[in-house]
Amino acid sequence: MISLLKNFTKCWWRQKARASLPFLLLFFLPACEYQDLKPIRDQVLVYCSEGNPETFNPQLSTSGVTFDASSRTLYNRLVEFKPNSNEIAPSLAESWSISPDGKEYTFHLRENVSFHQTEHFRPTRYLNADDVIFSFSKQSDNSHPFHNTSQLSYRYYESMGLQNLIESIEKSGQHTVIFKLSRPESPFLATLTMDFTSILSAEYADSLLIQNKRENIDSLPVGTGPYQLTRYQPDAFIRYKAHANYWNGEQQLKNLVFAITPDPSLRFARVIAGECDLMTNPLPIHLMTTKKYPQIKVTTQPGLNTAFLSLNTQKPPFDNPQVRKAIELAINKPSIIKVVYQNNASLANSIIPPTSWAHVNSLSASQFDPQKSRQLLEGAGYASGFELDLWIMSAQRAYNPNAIKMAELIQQNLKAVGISVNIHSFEYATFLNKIRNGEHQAALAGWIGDNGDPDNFFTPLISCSATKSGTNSTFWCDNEIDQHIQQAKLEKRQATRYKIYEKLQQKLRQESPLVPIAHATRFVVLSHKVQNFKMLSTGGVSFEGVYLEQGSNDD
Amino acid sequence: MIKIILNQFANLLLSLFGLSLLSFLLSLLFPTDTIYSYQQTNLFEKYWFYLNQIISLEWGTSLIHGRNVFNDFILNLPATIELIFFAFAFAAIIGIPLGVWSAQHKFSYKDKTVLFGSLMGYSLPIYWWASILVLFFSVSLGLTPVAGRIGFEYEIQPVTGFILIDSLISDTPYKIDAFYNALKHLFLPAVVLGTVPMAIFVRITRSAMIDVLSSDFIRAAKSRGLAHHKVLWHHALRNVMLPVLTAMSIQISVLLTGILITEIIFSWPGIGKWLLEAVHRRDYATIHGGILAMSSLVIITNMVIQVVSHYFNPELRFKR
Repeated sequence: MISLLKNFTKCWWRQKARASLPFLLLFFLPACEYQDLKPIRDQVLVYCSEGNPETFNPQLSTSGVTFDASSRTLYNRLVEFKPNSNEIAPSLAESWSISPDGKEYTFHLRENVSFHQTEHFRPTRYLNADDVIFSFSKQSDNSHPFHNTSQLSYRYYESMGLQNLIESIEKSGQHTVIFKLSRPESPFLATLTMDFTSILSAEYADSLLIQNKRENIDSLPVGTGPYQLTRYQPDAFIRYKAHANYWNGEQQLKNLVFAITPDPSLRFARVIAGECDLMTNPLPIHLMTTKKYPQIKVTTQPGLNTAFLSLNTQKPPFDNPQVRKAIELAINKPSIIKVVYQNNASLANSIIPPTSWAHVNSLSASQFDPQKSRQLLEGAGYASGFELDLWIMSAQRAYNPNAIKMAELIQQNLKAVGISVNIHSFEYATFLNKIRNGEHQAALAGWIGDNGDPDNFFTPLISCSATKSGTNSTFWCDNEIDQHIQQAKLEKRQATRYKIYEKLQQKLRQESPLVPIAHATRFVVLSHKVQNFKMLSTGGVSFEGVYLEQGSNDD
Repeated sequence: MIKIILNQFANLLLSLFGLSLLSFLLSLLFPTDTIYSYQQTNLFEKYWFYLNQIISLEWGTSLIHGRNVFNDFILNLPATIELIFFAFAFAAIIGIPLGVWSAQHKFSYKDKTVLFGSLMGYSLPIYWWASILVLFFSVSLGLTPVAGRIGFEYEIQPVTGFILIDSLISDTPYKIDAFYNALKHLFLPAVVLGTVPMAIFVRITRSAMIDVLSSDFIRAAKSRGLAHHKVLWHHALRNVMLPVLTAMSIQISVLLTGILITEIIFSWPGIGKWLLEAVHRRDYATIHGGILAMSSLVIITNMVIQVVSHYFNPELRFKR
């Protein structure tokens, strides 16, 4: 009662303001706290995200920012990983069976799975086998009416080599789909958990075809996922609302907003001020100050990622393995880990991070040895050094908190062996595009594993097929290595696969088309209000099942 | 008056012509086919084609997300206008009275304090100043938001694009709260952006006031026994406003450069942020359109202020 009275006297003019012109009382405003606003803020979870998604169609992207905003919120796949494990669980497919020869996968789809109902589209049927076939043939079939809806291409589908692997996809009945493969492939189920295999609506596509607005399928998405898109303003925000008929039950959290905030310090300030509830990839300097703020907490996880210096082997002087080796020897990795990561990372000797079962402990550690590096350069005919254009992206990524600083350290290191480095910075999407086209000489890149399988590092990063799709930014293609990669995929037994991967990594160590630098530890800073949030083992964020603790509304 | 307007209008056309020529030459330097793929071979024909495209508002499509550049500009413009308006209001409301007050106490310690403060304000690097304000008001005290235009909990449908108007005409039950929330978001960016113009207003008002106060007609007014405040605010200030108005027209272009930094710091979704993001993405079509639009804005506002100051200043009107 007393608190009620206090409230009343404190804000009586506010009541008046509601009735009369609000302008008159502007100057008194800061004195009155947001007493009746609390409920509305508690209905919205705001995630400070790092950048604009390239598209809302996960098939067209390889970037985690895009996946966070599309596949993980708007869509589902046939199967998924159980949270924080390498075990595969049902999603849109209720159950599945694999033929004894490992070449035929039969999926039984869940019934009564509804698609989003949006301003532009009203679904009339539940998910069926046609949607699955549509989602895959859009990517594989060049003559499919929805194949060329965007300037972006199906990088993942290509780099995973699915066009050669999948022979046909057939339906048998409304809710059964059969994938026929050209060869047995052990990581295939893991591949189907990946973002680019998200299931789109064939019915929506048909309606767009009639309206002749095919490109809307990428910008105004309709999926089966826990949330649906309501509004997107580039460089500002993405708004979602809970999907009312979600097959796994409507989300307790009704509104979700991605506040696009590329600057990590601003993201951190927003979380502290309560404008955002959650952020990923804080700078190391932020982590040192989190203890001062009781309203936030930090969760960590060793990351399934690798930061590396990619050397374009198509362009001299990096067509010469001696020069590439010399670069690796000249770079002082421990100092990078200390300065750039503030020790929140482990030193990388291979592209495979220690969290993966394919990681080889016995691999010869890379030594910082400028002396030897100079000798190698002399041997290769670059005694007087050369000029090197190093490309970096301005956005900060999970595997690299500060690309500029890293580039500057490398610049100093290489100066000591006579190589003068010019640093060029690009925006994230532009950077990716230019790298894929092979316009770079050397670039600071990285990779975040998106299924638990080690093949997810080897195939996209160093296989020959990935030089065409451009995820292999070194453009290095070695037939022997490629055979090893293919062989490891055919093999079912993990121990045998490990042996192959061990050999492969030793060979890579000699050739060094890229210089692995670090595996960063992942951090999420979040408000105590956020409940049930789990980091994905593969990186990125998913808001399924996340909710906000309702703050008490007392004085 | 009509003659002056016509004169200024001719001036405007000339400036815009020069601008179009310059931006045309710039567009030729961009990688080929980024904005227009010219079929013409002759440079003059190319320019004519370019001019036609610009005037019919076909500014090309963004190389990154494929949206129409002019539509994007219109989408982002209201946020910037809102910010500039409030920054100017802040600068004028604080700066002019402070200058008058300072002139009245000329050479005293009060005057010196104001002068010192204005010099500080003038020389503050915006970036640093913004960080300090955010640290103090937002992070430590929690009074104002850190960044953005409105809290994300409010979903306001854009109608006019001006968030203060849109929030009031929206149909959510929270519209008054949304309005206040938007105002709070405006506060820090407007102060940051308005600081330099404010410092300039203080100095110009002060020196003009000192000048005017020592002139004959003020002495005459005083000796006629008019009240002090009447002499000051009625007779003197009108004359002081003339140099202030000229300063304003120069400040518009200063503000437009300040907007680039301020909008980035506060994540303010206006044309400054839009343009800078485009620069970072090497989105040539957007860069071209953004530069063209911003320069046109500077030229047009300058012209409007010229006309207005001609209207207020009889000296300018009868000079010729």
